[in-house]
Amino acid sequence: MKILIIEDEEALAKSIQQYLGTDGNICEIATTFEEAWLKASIYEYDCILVDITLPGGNGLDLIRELKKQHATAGIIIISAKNSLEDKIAGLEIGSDDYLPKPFHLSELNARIKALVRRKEFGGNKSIDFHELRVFPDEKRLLVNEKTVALTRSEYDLLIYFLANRNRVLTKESIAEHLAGDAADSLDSFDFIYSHIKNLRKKLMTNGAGDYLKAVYGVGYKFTDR
Amino acid sequence: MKLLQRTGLYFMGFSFVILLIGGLGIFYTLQYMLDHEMDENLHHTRAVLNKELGKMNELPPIVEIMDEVIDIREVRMPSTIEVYKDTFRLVREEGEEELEPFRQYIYTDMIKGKYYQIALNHSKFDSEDLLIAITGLIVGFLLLFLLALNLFNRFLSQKIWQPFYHTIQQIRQYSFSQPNALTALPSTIDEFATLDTALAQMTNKLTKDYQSLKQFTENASHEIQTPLAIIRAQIDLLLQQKQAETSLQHIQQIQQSVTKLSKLNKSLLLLTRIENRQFEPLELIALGDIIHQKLEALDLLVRAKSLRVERDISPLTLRANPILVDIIISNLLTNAIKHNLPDGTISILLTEDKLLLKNTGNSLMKSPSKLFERFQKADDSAKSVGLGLAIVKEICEVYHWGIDYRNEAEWHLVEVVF
Repeated sequence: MKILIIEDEEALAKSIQQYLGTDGNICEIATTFEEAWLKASIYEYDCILVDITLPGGNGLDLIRELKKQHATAGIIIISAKNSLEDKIAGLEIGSDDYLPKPFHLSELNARIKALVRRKEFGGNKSIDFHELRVFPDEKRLLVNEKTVALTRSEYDLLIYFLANRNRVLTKESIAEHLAGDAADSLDSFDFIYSHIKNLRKKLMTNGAGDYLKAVYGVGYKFTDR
Repeated sequence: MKLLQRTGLYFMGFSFVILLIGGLGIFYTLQYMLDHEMDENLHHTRAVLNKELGKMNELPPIVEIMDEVIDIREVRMPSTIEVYKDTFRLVREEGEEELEPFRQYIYTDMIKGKYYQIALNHSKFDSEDLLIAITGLIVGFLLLFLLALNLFNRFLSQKIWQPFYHTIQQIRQYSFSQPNALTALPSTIDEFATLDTALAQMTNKLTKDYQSLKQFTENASHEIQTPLAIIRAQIDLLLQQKQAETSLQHIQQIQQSVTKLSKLNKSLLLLTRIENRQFEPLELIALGDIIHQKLEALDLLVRAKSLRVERDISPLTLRANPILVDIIISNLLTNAIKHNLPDGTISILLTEDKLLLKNTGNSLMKSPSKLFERFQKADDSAKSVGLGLAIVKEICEVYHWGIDYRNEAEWHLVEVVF
């Protein structure tokens, strides 16, 4: 997957590049409006991340131009302005998603994957991991070709883990993923334990391997290693 | 009291005093002049009278000649004393006796070898009438003149002060959230023109300051969020590398602090934006729907604590900003969940004019009034920022909603009156 990261903070751009790069994605960075415009007009990308406040221009203007050129590329706004107005404006002019800073790289990764899957395969493509097969559109899980019923939270969790396989996911990022904005006002992330416990149990009793591993004090990791 | 009324009142009062003094002055001056005139006439009559009296054989005690009434009294000694004075006499007129004012001139003269004290009396009745008529006329005219002057002044002032009242009206309607430059009525009065210029300068400066303050809070938030995003990304990357258990704990600590800082920043920005009334568009909102939606979104957390949710929701439509309504409901509900006991209860009662939210929980350690202050937490060790209820209160202030918190036994009650 080719991803263009348009972000004026180089440290952040590089972190994103490194995180997404480990999945075999090719990430390019543009730190100014002109650079972004230049790269976007030469190369094709599967996904473009756009910071709205850019030196040399407004990210929203860039998105308008990008939409004219790259009908297929998914566009995700990453903005420090967590305002609904910006979000609505961004989605109205054709961006596909909006992620307020500061975000977890795992969340960004999951959103990119979901977006590209939706864009390029119309959501029909299944996510496969050993004996697991998930059909995101139908919200269906097969373990060894046998359907396993999951609750919505368990399903969301599984997709999140599968998008970030072999990576450590913190409790915070999992809680934010599950509860959305409501996680902001929570002091404890205890509520995720039961969901993770249930998911693990359902997978294992249906014959899947023990892929969900706790990382001491920090969070969880979905891995076959 | 309006300036015009006040000056008008002073003007009237002053006019009254002046009229009173002037009227009295005119009255007495005229009286003096008339008396003086009459005295001269009486003195003149004296010579004529003496001649006439000399022709008479015997002098009667009272002689009436034309307007004059003369009292004659024989005295033994001559005297040079002459007196002019006012007196009253009984006058018979059409069968009735009336006291009438007279001017009296008393002198002593020798007639036919005998001394007589003679009092010449001249009726002042006509001159008194004249005096009152003239004084009344002058005072009446002055009164009319002052009244006309006052009315004209009032009319003129209203015309002159019109730009001033216009400016006041403009200031009253001025709003920072929708700044329109003040439009001044053209005024040829230097003071008003100066006032308008000064006001225009002031509002321009205030608007600019306000805008830059708004910009500042947004920029500050942006500037803080970006380093936080970098820290968070770096932590995520660090976590992907193999770490010793102690390092993981350190990283976890950093992570928590970053999360808290980020929440704090978001909440403060939100508070500032609410204070600055930056949530302008109002919509009609069905509050019941919002509550159902929020409960659904929070279902995960409700179930994690095995809470029982009771709801009794009447249709209630509010005119408010949807984002703020969303925030207030969300904050109140998450509070009710957060401070609840395991297997506790949340009760939501929405009537036509108020929302009553009850939840079970440990009894409150702090004074309830402090709860709505900024950075006040239920207990100090809590990881929360302590801005949730401050935000709720701020939103209530924007829409003039009443908010009240009570702690009754194991129940915590929050009531919002719309």
